[in-house]
Amino acid sequence: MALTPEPFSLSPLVSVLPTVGNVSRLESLVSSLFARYETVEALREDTDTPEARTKLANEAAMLRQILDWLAVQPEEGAHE
Amino acid sequence: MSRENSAADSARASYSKEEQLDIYALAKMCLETGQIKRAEVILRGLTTVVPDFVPGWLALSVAQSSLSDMDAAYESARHALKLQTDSPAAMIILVTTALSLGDQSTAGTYLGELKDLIDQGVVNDPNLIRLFKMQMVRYHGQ
Repeated sequence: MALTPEPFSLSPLVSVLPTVGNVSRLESLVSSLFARYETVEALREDTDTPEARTKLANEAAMLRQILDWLAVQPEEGAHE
Repeated sequence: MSRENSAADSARASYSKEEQLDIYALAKMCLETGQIKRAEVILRGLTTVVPDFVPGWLALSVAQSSLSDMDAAYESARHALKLQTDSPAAMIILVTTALSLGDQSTAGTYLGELKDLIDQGVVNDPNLIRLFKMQMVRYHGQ
C-alpha cells in the first residue's frame, strides 16, 4: 500500500491556507470566463493609463491561466 | 477615477463570490501540485480584481515566497494582515517571510501574538501550531 505524504510535509505554508471553493465548478464557468477574457482584452486596447493597463493585464493573465488549465485555448494574438 | 479605470473596473465588478472562491481553489491546487508560477499569475489577477479577498493575498504571499520573491511575499502577507488583523494564518505567513528577510522585530511581535492565541486555545489548527514551532526555532536561531 502506497503511503500518501501529509500536506504539511510537502508544503507547510500551503497547509495553513484556508480551504474554500471548488475547482470542479470552474468547468461550468468556461463560457462566462471566456467572455470575460475577451472583454478584458478588448478593454486593454482602449486603455491608456498605466495603472488601468496593469490591472487589466493582471486580470487577462489570470483568465488565460484558468482557461489554459481548463484546456480552452484563447486565440493567440487575437487581441494583441 | 479616470474613464479608463472606471470602464475597466466595471468589467471586473461582476465576479461572483462563488467564482472568487473557485478561482482561489484552483490557485491553491496549483500550489499543492508545484505549479507555482501558474498559481502566482492567477493570484495576482485575483487580488487585483478582488482586492479585499484575504485568502487570495495569503496564497499570493505563499506563491511569491516559493518563487523566492521575499519582499513581495512580505508585502502580500502584510496586506492580508491589514485586511484581517486577527488572522493567525496571515500572522504565521508574515513571520516566515519576516524571518527570511531578517526582520526579527516583526517576527517577534507576531510570534508573541500567536503564542497567546495558541495558549488561549483560540488557535488549534495542528498545522499552524507545527509551523509556529518551526518559526520559533528559526527565530531563536537567528
